[in-house]
Amino acid sequence: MSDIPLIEMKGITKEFPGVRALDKADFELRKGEIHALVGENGAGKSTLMRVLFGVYKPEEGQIFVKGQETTILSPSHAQKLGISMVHQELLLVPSMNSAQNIALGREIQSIPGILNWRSIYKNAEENLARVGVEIDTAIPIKSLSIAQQQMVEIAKSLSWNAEVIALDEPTSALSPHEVSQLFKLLKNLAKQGVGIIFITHRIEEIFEIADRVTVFRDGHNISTWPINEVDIGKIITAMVGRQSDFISHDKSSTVKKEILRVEGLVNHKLAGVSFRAYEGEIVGLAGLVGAGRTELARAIFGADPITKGKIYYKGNLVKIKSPQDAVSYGIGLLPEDRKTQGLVLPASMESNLALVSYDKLSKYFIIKLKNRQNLAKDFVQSLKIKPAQIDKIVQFLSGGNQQKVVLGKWLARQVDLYIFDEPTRGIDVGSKAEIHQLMADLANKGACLIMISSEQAEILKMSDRILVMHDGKIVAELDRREATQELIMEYAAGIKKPMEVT
Amino acid sequence: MAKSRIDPQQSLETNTPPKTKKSHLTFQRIKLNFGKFALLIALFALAAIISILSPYFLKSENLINILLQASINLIIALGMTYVISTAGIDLSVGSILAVAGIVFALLLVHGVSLPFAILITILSGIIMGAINGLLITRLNLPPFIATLGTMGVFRGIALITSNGRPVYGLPAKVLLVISGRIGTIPIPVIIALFTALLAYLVLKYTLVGEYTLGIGGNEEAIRLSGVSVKRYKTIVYAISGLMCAIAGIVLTARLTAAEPIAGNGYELDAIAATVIGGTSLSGGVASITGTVIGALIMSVLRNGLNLLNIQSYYQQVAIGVVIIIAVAIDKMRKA
Repeated sequence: MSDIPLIEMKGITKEFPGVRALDKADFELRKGEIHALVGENGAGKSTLMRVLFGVYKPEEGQIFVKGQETTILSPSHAQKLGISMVHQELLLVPSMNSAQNIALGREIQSIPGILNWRSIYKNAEENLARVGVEIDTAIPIKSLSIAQQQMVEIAKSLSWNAEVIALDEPTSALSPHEVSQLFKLLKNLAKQGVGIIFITHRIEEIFEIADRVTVFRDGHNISTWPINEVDIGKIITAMVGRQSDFISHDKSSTVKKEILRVEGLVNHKLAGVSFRAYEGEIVGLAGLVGAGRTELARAIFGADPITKGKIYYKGNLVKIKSPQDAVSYGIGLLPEDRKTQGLVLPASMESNLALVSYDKLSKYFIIKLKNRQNLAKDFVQSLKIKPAQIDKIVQFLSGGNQQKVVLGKWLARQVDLYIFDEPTRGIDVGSKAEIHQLMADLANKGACLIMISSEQAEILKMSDRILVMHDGKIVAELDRREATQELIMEYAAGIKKPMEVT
Repeated sequence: MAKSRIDPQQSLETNTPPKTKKSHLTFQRIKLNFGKFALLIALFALAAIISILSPYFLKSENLINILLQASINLIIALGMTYVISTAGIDLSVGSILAVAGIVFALLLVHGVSLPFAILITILSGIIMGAINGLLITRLNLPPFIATLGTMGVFRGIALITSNGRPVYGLPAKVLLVISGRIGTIPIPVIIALFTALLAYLVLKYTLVGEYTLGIGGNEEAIRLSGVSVKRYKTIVYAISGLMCAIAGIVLTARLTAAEPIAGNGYELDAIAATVIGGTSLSGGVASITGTVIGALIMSVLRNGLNLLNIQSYYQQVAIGVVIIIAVAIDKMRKA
């Protein structure tokens, strides 16, 4: 390993309206190392990578590329410097084949304007060979598996002569076998001198792949260790900055009223789901991405059609054909993606907070503006939404505050069943704790909460009962006392035999 | 324009943000207002230039004429503003106007009383608009395609019912209620401004307005909030049809005849006025005052070019350039 690092970032600060995403962050990548970058959502990892890739310009700080101070102007500039990035959402053109995608933007031409297809395919095959996969270059990207697409993306980076490759959560959508293949490839690339930045949420992985690990929290690096000098406990403590605590809410053992009973729910993603949920409890829905948790939530809420099965709400058989029906029964859904499903981004906080309460806030189609303002002010205050201006356009709020607006929208209506799909994804630690507290309060007041989360720690921290989904079915029901991350994982991955759940 | 989302009464004093934030916010507000001011400034600048080149421009008779010329386009553009702010488009406005005009004229010719004829015509406009809405919401057709289709269908209906010939012989005296003047102000201008006021109030103070902007801003979020997106979208297209019917009545009254080919190309004028006014084609933000100013800018431009004896071919170039400049400025401002 040479002395001069490939990349050195010093004192990087990046602010967005309302949030300081990076606060004097340092990072270093050496030649031929695999450097894992971990931290909770909103810790600043992705922002740091976007700064490195020229997407964001930092307010402060210096970046050295192979010892030379450099201002990275744009992603294409970053690529010229040999820095490339494999995004979580792959940036390939689905309808084009792998050769076209690898060549994209730098197509080989026989005479200007005329594509030299023979060379384009040859170049693609060479780089795919370096990655070590066999992919028919004539097949369009959309017909390839996610793992194969990732390989194409990496091959594309190599065709740019990348010396630094950053991978953002590359394993989240891969099977165990595909993961081991990817790791083999990355180790191989590192041997060839490529520096690899590996962002992941799966802490166990880094012991298998990384040479060093850097933990991010609150917008800057907390510590960096060589992998053999650290254990999971140390990393997690550094990530959360405190002992992970359990939010307790009152567990009186009195018989609780049933709020929701689902029997044999079937649709395009659900293969017969049955469960019950009671007042005053938080039911955690665990499982891997694609297990059908979001689909279950949407089916109950009437957002997706169901082909078979029954839903009982407060003991009565109900037909929920649309979100409209669900809302009229008193069910609220905090959707998975607040930006595309939860918020009207160009509208004000006031408009968004009022969205499901117009039966109270209007008469004969006329909006009672005064009441609406008061409602918005109340929730902005009680949820500590910042800035505390109800006419603020929600687009300009930070993720945590945006999520509070979506939450406030349902709180304003006072529903009895809340379905929370990834309630704290991508928001800062402070807002996360506040939202957790709010959820506990709601349960204490007798509401029934169903929470979907891909974060095991959150499931374990918040749930009274945990339902694990796999392949469109509920495969386990665990009491909070018996549940462990390992147990949940075994059910979620389909390793352990499903138990009988009703 | 984002400004219309912000209640002016909701002043800064109601909250007490830290001082730095306040100045930041005031700046933001100036920026938000800038678009609308810029539009007004553009209108006055245009008027100033034309009035220097042609002294006749500022004569009250000419100014009133400008308003009169703008009124039909404005009425249609108001409906278009609703449609566009849901991220939709209505290409059938000119055809609906023609059908409405024919319906109105035929009713009058057959001796139906004026109020009743107006009522039926307006209903026909609402129905045609609702058909657009149903095609879009029930058959899931893209608005462009659905209204491209009905543009042809409605135009055909206008031609069929009138045998392709203008409907003459309307009671001119009766029609003065619509086409006459109160003092020096033409009644069509009053109708247009009254419609604009109504459009403004509905957008700002009713659920229809709130959900119109919401659907344009994020249709899925509105749906997941338990709102019937289909119903409100249909209402929006029905509003556009209603506006076209009003425009059709006004146009027919002014000409004391109904042309089956009336309104050809009006959709482009209406879209232009809306877009110049700052309503975003991607939906979610709308400005009624912007649309009013947009329609006026187009009318002033046409009038000025006429006064300066510039061939009408050049007018098309000028209007096209204005649209491009207006939207480009808007984009730059937002960037």
